[in-house]
Amino acid sequence: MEIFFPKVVNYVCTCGARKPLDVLFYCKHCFKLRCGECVSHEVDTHYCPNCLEFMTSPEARVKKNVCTTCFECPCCGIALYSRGTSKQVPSEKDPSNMVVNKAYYLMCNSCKWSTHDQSLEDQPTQSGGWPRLEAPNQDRVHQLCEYYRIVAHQEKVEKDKKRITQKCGYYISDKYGVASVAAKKYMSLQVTPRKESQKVAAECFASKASEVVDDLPSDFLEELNIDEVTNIRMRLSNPDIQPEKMSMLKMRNLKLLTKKSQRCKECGHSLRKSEYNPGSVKFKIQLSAYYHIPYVRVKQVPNLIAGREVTIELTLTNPTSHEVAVELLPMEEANTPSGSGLLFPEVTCSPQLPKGTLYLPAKDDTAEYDDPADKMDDRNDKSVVTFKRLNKLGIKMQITPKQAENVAIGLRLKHTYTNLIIQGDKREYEVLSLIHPVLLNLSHFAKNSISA
Amino acid sequence: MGDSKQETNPKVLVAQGSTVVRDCVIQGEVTIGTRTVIHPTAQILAEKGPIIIGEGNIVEEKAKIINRREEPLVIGNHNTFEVGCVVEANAIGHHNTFECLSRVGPLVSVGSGCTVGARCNVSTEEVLPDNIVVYGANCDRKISVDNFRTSNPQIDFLSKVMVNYHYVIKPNRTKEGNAIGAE
Ligand SMILES: [Zn+2]
Ligand SMILES: [Zn+2]
Ligand SMILES: [Zn+2]
Ligand SMILES: [Zn+2]
Ligand SMILES: [Zn+2]
Repeated sequence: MEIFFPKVVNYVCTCGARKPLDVLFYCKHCFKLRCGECVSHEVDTHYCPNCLEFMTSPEARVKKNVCTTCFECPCCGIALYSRGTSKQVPSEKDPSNMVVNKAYYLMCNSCKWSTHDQSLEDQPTQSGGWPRLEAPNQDRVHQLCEYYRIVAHQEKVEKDKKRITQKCGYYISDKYGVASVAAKKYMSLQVTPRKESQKVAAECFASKASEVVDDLPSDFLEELNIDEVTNIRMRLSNPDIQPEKMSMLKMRNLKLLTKKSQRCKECGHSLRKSEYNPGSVKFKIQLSAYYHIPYVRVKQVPNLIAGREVTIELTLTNPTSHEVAVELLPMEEANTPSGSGLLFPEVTCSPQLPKGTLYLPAKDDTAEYDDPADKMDDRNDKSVVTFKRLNKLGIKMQITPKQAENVAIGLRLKHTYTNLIIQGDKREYEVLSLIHPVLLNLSHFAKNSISA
Repeated sequence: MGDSKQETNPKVLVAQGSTVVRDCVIQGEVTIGTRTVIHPTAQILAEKGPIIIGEGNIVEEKAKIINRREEPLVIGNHNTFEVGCVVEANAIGHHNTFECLSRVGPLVSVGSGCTVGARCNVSTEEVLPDNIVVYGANCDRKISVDNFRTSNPQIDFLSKVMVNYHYVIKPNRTKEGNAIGAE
């Protein structure tokens, strides 16, 4: 999406973050811009990027967030694929007869790592049957987990006990049945962790620091073959075995990816929700600002010289199916709590913005195939508008940069937004007026920075 | 167009059992071994010295094999030159794979069982030892154990199917009329 907004035009999100329009959300219920940093993210499903099997969060937790059937290359981390081989072997019933024996092994398409490198036997079936990688310290990790679970439980019991006893002091009579609720809760806290986990945790011991450490592997100091040792990335991606040599690499189960949905923190409505099926790239709800807010782009910037007035050309595009009236307001008028302009310290130049309202026609998907006989809208100021094509309008304005570098202008985009209200069978349109601060960094267009 | 090409380039020697499509570019002194398949739009350019291609090689579409030196470029057996690769190496062993859009420079001598991964580049002055795999965006290297694959089933299929859709260059014969390379 960088093609559309190569970090030139940034909209200011409600939270103050500067983001290009295509990564912003637009909450239809609060009528405000939201960005990835000021919405709540929720994990919908976990899925395997290779076989696209999907599962719920608890299931994924049980499976330790990996796919049980797919494996990844220990060298480059991409999914391994299955290759078949056929070998002629003597038949079991009649050793003089040769039969074709099909066997499968896994291989990395990129670096050609294969299960033969790990000296694993070929499998008779195309998928499955591969041993799951057992971490060398698995038991110890399990022990520690159980131990800390019990510690956490005890801490919670103590904390709740304190709270309940405090509360109980106030409720002398049980007029409202509150005491019984509290008592029930108190009872529920008495539930102790399972016997097995208690047993495991009892065996837990504190780790001891040792002064004796292993020597450096001699191969590294004497005869080093750079092709046989692992690089830092391979070691970090296999933290449990930390392989030093390529021959020590072991394939691991492919990690699951998640599908996330975004929700407005203020009103709790969903801003984006994808379809559950991991194979689908469609959305059930997609409130991207790109589809609702007029977008500003920079069309032309001449060579910028400090102190000289130049004309720049912008375009405004209306992505909605309703006409939009746009006004460009100066940044300074913004009622900032800390005084004018200080909210946007990156603005170095104030443009002479066109006065009056500009009307952007609605987006018409079918119009693209028609003859583009575009009539100018008489309501628009002809001295400002440079061209009109469908739902897009070109406008010009003068700027006088104070310096030749880091020229950034700011404006407030005031536009109408047609909101559809559905109440029962009634469909009503309501026209709102929204204002978004927009920052345009023109230094990308400076002649000397463009490599011709 | 294919017809005239064979006439104007008498230096091309095509062995019996190979499948060389006429719609490829063969320049200079080129020998093509048996069971080798040359796809259309492939380019084999022997600009000065000859290029000698062994048995069971596959040269795919838009692959380029160039010899700019005086000495001959000898290519061994069972190599695969995938779509769009540019190979200028000064020697090539057996069972190598040059994946799509890979590049091998003129100062490289390739051993056997090597793979130059898709879009990877080897352009230093060096001898690429046997069984080296060059892979990934950073052209990382590693040794691969089982790299001695042959694409025999694919060659069988191609040599059967390609003649149905393309004109192929007829194999040269000795003066006595015997087939070359079919022994
Ligand atoms: Zn909201
Ligand atoms: Zn935000
Ligand atoms: Zn999977
Ligand atoms: Zn790999
Ligand atoms: Zn709401």
